[in-house]
Amino acid sequence: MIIITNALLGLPPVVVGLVVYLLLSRSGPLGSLGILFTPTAMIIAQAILGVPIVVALVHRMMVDVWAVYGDALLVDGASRLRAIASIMSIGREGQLTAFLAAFGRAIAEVGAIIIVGGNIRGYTRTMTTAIALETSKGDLSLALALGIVLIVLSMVVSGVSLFFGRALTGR
Amino acid sequence: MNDFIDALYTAARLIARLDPELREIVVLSLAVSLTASVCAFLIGSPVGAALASGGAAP
Repeated sequence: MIIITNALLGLPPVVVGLVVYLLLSRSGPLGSLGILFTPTAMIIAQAILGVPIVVALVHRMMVDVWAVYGDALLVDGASRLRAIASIMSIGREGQLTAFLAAFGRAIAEVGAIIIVGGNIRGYTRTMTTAIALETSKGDLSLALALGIVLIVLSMVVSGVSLFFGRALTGR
Repeated sequence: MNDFIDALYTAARLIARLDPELREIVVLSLAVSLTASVCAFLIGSPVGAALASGGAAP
């Protein structure tokens, strides 16, 4: 399972976009849902890309927590399910880091969401896809403005992640 | 270089006056990415924790 997760981490995002597109297109299995070229499709693509990140990070943090608390919980009579729930609560700051990592990944995504979203103005045009479009149009001012906002946002997310990581582990 | 400086200046103006198109794009990006991260987290976190506890068998 870990091997699968690590393999999924290396998956090219644009391929994920292609697969989701094929699934959601009119002639595809989920075509009747009509969600291709909607924000929903973009959310699906970004979520698919984010799950391996969350699994990998949560797993890495939880292995340590489990090593400390796992046996004690099980010996005290907790079912495996309750023990897992308990370590998830104990390892809270790791969860936050994992969430922020997934968010950072999602906000930076371009290829997959251009494919499944269609970059439709006012509907499925995000910061990243707009930058790609405006730059190729040669309209650099909007691209630069969005780029600045995106960079600032990414730095804020990284900063928050670092801050909470330090603060919650008392380092 | 001049084109770049002009573009940078216009970009700063767009940000400063919270240009509606800019705002719309940023809000959509945040909404999509936040929703996606929450979904990824809700799915991935239990899986990661279950894997760390040596398998998901209850």
